[in-house]
Amino acid sequence: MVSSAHAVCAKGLFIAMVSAAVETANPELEIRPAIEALGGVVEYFTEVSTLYEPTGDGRGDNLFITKSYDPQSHFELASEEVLELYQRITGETLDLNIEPAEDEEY
Amino acid sequence: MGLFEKKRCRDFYIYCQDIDFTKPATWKGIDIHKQPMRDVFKKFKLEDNTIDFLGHAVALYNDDNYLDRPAADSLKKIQLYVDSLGKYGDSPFLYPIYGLGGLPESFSRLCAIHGGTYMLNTKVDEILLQSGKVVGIKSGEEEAKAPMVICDPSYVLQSKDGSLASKVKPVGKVIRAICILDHPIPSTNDSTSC
Repeated sequence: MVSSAHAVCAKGLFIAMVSAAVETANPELEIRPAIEALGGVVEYFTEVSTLYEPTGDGRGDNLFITKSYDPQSHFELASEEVLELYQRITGETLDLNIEPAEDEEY
Repeated sequence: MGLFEKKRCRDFYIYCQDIDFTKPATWKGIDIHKQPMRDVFKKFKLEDNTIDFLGHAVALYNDDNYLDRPAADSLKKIQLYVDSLGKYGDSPFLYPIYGLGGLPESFSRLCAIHGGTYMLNTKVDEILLQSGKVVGIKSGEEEAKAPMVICDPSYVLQSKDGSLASKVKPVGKVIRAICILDHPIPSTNDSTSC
């Protein structure tokens, strides 16, 4: 949930996101318990989208395709995928450690 | 969470914070690169409810497989959570001010510094292939040459009326709801983010 503290909506309003992998024919029913836990909503919008996965690893045709975003709200698997993709393309693991260069001055 | 469990959980957080992944002395008798996370929870005698919370809401795991994998990965994630706690406001979840658009915005700046061009409002009409290899993309009447293309499945599905659709396969569906509330979520201590 985010709010005016993140400057994404007017003061006094709150924006909550509910997402889940669809498991039945009636997905709206699947997320109802979560929406009820929010304690009353002014308005809500739902969207059902299809998830896709690449059929190849991209090495053959140089077309590197990611997976669609999964239901997670924190992008944990998406960021893992980016790191994995970097390794697949360059053959090296991405090192995100920041080390000052030797000639750098402070 | 009961009073004693709180104490055990606090001890666990302190243990996580004090871990230096290169110094076995800070691992307190557990080989975190070999022993599973289950053993660490056992050491602190944490209850199942607490373990569920730590695994899914703190370490952000989707399932319980992490319990049987070496503890180091999970401990890193819990450390990240604890380190993030005091960074900005009360919530450990750091979110860009003005929304997620802040991420592409920062990316476009960094991209410009390194000589890249970021194009807004530009459709990819076609991904161009020549003898089975990517050679670029087409947008309107313009073409951009490239030795490789990195993209999301939606671009592949749109390309050339879906002729590249076999490069991706549907694997499931997801439902997302955006809810507007005029009050914080109940039982979250009036938190402005969570």
